[in-house]
Amino acid sequence: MPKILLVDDEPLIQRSMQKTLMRAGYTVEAAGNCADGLKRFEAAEAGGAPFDMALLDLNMPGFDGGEASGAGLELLSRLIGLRPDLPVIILTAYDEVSKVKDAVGRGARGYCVKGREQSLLDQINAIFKEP
Amino acid sequence: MDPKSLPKILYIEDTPAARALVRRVLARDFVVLEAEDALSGIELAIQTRPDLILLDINLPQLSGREVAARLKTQLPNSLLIAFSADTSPKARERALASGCVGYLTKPLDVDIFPDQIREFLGGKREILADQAVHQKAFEAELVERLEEKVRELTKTAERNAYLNEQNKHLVVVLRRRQRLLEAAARVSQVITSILDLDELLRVTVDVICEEYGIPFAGIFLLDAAGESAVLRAGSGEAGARMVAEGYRRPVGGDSTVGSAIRQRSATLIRDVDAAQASHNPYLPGIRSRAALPLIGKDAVLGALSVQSDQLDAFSDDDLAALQTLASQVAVAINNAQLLRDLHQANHELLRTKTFQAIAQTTGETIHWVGNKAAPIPSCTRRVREDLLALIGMLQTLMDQPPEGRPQHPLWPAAQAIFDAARRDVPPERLYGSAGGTDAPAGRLYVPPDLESILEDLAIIEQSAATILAIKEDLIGPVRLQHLAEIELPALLEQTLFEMGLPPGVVHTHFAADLPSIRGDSRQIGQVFNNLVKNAWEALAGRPQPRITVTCHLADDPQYLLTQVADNGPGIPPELLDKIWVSFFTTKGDRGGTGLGLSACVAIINQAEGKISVESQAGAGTTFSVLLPVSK
Repeated sequence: MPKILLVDDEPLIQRSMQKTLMRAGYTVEAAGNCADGLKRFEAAEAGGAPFDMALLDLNMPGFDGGEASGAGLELLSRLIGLRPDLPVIILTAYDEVSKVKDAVGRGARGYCVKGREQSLLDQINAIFKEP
Repeated sequence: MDPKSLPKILYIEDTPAARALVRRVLARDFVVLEAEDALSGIELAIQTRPDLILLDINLPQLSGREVAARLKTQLPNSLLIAFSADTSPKARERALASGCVGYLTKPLDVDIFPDQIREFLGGKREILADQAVHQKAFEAELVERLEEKVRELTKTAERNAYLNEQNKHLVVVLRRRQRLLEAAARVSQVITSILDLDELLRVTVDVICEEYGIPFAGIFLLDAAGESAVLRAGSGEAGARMVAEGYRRPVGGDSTVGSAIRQRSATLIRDVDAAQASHNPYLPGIRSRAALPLIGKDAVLGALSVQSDQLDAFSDDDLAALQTLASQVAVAINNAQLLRDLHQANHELLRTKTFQAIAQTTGETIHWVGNKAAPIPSCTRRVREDLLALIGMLQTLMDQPPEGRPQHPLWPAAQAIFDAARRDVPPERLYGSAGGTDAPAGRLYVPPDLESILEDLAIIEQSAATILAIKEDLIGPVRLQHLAEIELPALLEQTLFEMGLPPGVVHTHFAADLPSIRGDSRQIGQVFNNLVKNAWEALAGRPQPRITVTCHLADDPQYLLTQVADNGPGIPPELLDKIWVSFFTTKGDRGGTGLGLSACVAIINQAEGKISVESQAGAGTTFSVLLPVSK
């Protein structure tokens, strides 16, 4: 079953999303900040069971631990740097147009407005169905 | 020797050097009196009665010979000696004929001059041969001189009379100029002290009437279309009545006001009857009139009209002064308009700032609430799924004969749930008595009403969905835009068509061949959908509801102006600013989240356009949207 890395600092949103995805059959590992997310990703790569996709929140604590606007963008760049073909979906509470554009420019496959878990699921299913 | 006993000599001579020389030569033996011109010489002679009078012949005013003739009548016994540089023939004879008894020639010989004088004092007399002939010649000369003097005097008198006339005229002109200056000064004072345009124009026409003593002055301003000049201020009762009744003159017509505006120059009718110009029914008895264009910074704003009950009442001077005045008025009108624009800009800025502050606060709040509400729909869905699964599981077990249940594959799962319930739920809830008074110990209390649970879940889900929908409505305008060329009239047609309003309500007028705009057609369509929807809701229960949608090039051709107007009840002025604020709604409990107009503002702002509203209580509301044409 595809393995997904979910990074979001809002615990309730993170947990709810994780449950929705797991119920849909995906294996989901969740992290609450950028550093933890990167650590889990690297560990999975090293352990031979890499992630097939990443879902990243944009606004969350950065690598230095402080709250940073758009810290998710940096994590995105690092993940894409490690694996250029990794599908990444950006999770956004606001529709932050410029940041989303930035994310797409950095290699994100799409974005999803939080609270629309069903459409997120549809999006993920569509990506995994791609030939 | 006693100076008083010395003979007194009077020397009448206009050249100071000559007087000084004679004084020096004669001073030792004579008392020398001096006069520098003929008249003072005669006066001095009469006062001092000198023993001998030396006369220069070539004097200004009167010649020496005329002085001699005069002195001969005043002082018949005086001794007159001509003393002249005149060596022309007959100079001696002419001098002797005038009454002199001797003729000494310049330059004087210092050695003999005192003796020559003494000889005359001693009784020497030069005799003139042909006395009568020379006398006659001299008299003729005198008459001629007299005539010449008379002519000169007459000429002077005439010149004086002419100068007098000139002066009178100048005084009149100066007085008038002064009055014009005073009028201009008063008007400029008025202009700098009054900021309200209507009051300024009223005072200006009154001042002009007063200063020029004319029955009527009026100021016309061009209407928005520039097709006619509307009287904005008029003097007196007639003026007030004309203003009240919307008196106007077509710019294209042959009125003085129309021509002045069209030709950008003063138009004058010296004689209204002779020119067969039309009479203004409000102003009977007008015999001459003029109009001066009000030329502003870059355009004609209107005209100043002045009317008199006198023929040809306005001189070139008047017109020049009035034109200066008209220019001042034009400047004042420009200023007043600038001030009004400034007020409006300020107002708009304040509105935008207020809107931004409120939008930010509500935006942050909504973001937070939306974030917190984000998991609710999914959680609810899972609870419903799990609840139905649980019921299905219990149903399956219940369907088994009691002794067979522990063998059923679902049994361990059911036991695990019961164990968890025993662990997590307080006993009084678990074994509670609500509805089941004698529930056996160890048995889970199952709420009897599944429908109620499902309904509650639906309510939770619905509420969360509403919160999320509002969140997206509020921040929706900043969704990713799909920019494309938009033919605005087509988009408007489509939007109106999709709204499906009753026939006859919507009236459209779209200019042909409009340039396209650039934007997100879904968003722009949403704006007009919103405006038309608002208009339709404002028209609820009104007779003959009418919504007019127009689209044409704005005054600034860089923009398309779309207007949505209704004939509804209008928005009270005190609410006019609040309509832009999120969550403000006039619809009471008739629905509407109050996000519509604030979303419209956000969308139009993002499209670099402008949205504004004008409303008149009882007459309706017009929303105007400016959108930049694509480059």
